[in-house]
Amino acid sequence: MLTVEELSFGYTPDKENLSDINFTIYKGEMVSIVGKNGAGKSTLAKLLCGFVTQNHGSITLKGRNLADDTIKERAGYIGYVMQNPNQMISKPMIYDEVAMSLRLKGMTEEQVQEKVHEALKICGLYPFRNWPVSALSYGQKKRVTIASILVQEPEILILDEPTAGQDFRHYTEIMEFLKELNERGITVLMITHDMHLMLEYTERSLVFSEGHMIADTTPAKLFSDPQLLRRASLKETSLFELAKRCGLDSESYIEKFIRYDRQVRNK
Amino acid sequence: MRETLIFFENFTFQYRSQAEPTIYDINLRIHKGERVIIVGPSGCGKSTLAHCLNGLNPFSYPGTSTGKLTICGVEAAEAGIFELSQYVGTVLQDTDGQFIGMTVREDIAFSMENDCVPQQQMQERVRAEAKKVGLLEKLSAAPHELSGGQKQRVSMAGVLVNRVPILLFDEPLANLDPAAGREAIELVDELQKENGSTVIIIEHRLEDAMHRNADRIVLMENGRIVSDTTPAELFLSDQLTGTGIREPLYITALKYAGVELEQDMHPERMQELILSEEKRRRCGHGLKDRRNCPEKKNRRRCLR
Amino acid sequence: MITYDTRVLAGMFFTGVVFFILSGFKWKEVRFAVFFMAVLMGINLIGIFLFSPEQGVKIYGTRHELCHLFWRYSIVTEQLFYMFNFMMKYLVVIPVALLFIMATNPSEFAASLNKIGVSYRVGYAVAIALRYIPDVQRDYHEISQAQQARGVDLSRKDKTLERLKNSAAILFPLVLSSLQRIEFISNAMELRGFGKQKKRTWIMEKPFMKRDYAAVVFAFVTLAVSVLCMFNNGGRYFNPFL
Repeated sequence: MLTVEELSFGYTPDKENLSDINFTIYKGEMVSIVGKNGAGKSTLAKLLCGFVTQNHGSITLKGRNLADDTIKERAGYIGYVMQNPNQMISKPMIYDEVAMSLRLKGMTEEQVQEKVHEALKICGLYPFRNWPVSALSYGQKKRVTIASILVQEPEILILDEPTAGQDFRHYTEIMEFLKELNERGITVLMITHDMHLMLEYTERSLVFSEGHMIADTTPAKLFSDPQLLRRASLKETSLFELAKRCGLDSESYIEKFIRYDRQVRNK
Repeated sequence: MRETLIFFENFTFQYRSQAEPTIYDINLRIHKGERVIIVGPSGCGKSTLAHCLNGLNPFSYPGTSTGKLTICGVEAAEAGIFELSQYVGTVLQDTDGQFIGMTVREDIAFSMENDCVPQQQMQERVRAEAKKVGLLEKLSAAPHELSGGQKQRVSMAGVLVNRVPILLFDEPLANLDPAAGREAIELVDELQKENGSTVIIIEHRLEDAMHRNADRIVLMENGRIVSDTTPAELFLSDQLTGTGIREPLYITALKYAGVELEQDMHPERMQELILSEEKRRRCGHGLKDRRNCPEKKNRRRCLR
Repeated sequence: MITYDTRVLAGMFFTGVVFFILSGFKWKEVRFAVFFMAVLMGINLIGIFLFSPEQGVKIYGTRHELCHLFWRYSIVTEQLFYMFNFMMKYLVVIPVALLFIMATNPSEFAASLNKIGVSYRVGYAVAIALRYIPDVQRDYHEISQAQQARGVDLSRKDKTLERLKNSAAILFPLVLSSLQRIEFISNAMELRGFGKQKKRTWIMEKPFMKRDYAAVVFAFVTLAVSVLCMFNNGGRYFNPFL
């Protein structure tokens, strides 16, 4: 669905932040974009959303090159949720915040209300629809930002570190919510270095290091490859070591664990 | 018997703006040279506890306390932030926000400048601390030229330069990628060994914080201390899953496999874990049988 | 800068330009600032002409009209000369001010201010502002991009009123995140002892060197020259019309 070919970009002429990136994302996937801080993950997101323009290469969505679309137009297909919800929220009332982009498009109030309520329901915030943003917790604010992007009905959602700074309980809440969105057909790309997130929720990881994409694989495979992990600045999970100790194949052990853990937690 | 540096006795703290106390009946002793990790879900009060140690409570965030808190023999409620900062050095979680100087050199020197240390002395000590954290060549670098991990090391140097006995780390891993986080914990470990400092780490990423061993883990929930034991004891129990903190993965895996955990297996760290042949075999088989799961009830509770 | 003496002004301007060239800063770096100040200057001059077209006559005491425009406006040499001097004053200040801003290390500046008796809090406030300007700029940039993605259009296509309302959508989160930052930073500073004592030392403090003394002497000499000219001219103005 979304194809990136030979993408290269640099903030300054002498240095390339991203070089020769190639990948294709298919509809309904849930993909993690991983790598060290500064490897180029956020830059990639910015390129996809049109915040910056590439030096070389192309981005095509469903066969159509996105190069001529403005940021606003691209936002109709690709939504971007920032890491810090405080940087996105610009209205004091939840309803207005979510409605903002629709009102700016010039929709009627009835249309706006319909879509806003829908988005709020999906995000589990419908009971709070008349509340101010200041009454919400951090996790709820995060969901407000997601709602305000969802309301534009993008097909692809890019999230920058969706679980940063959250404890396990809230992390699970947000991730389950994202999983539901994914099951509704929205393709989800997450920039993260949370290994557990990668393992449990995504079926594919794009690994970046120093501006290059060094791998496009499943999380289980990734965590069974110590060299790759080092280059991506990730840590080996203790599962890998446990598997090694017990003489088991680490990749299948990790996968088995993930599946088992999910079953247990969903009971 | 090691010297007690920090002593909470029936300590309760309530912010002025809140209707109820945030932390209740805290009884906690921390001894010289210990490394203690304080964990708990969001809102459990661990940050409040940390702020009571460095003086932000009640001097920046007004509130009232009952009970006693002494730090290095001084009553915290009477001391004030400046006096407490002689005993407790705090490294905060936002690597950018606490980098105050324009360059590495200036940031490390910051607290010395406030103490009116003569320029010559400052320059020497800055160089010494920078060397210890491996940033000697970066003394003239500006913050935007540094990575998150480097900035955090600068903050550590800036705190250590005062030779404080107690180091307090408030969610140090939050803004770091896993590899940088690992390096940070290693650095803390080395510095502690060198200086004999007492280290308190507030984190909720328990497995990462345990990259190097800790003497104790204090588990908090809803403002109270729920558990205060060695890591091994804590992992053997079910307390963590009950409070919504993730156990280290290998512990969960072993529990799923039905492997019985014992203290002499050294479960606190993967590297030190001792697994008998039989137990290793069980790991291989254990995950297949779903009915073997012992943690069902607790898991459900934790997801709500 | 009390003087309006063209000769003194010319000398100061010339020295200023020489200093700027010696400093090695490139024109490209200051192009925008100079352009901006030139625009300000132009507006100022137009204002002077419109509001008191005969100011020059009042100052110099003579009137040589070149041509009459309309109503009370004529082009008079004395007025032109006056406006020329006014422009010269701007020009004198520009290179030196730019040099000062670009060449001064804020921390050294704060330390120096403290040395002459200004409270260290003031000096440090300036240094901190400079330290965090790039961070705030980056915040602004990120926020504005995210908002653009939601349809907040800041391009020139929109009407001014719309653009102003849209700017609020960016300023609101920016102010919030800046306030957050301020609280955090002030906690960090307090925890590390800022304000503990009445004075503080500075690692970046530069001791007075020979050339600093030379600069001070130079400043005094310039002042002396201006004052002498004042006495010579019997006023601030050099009058070539007499």
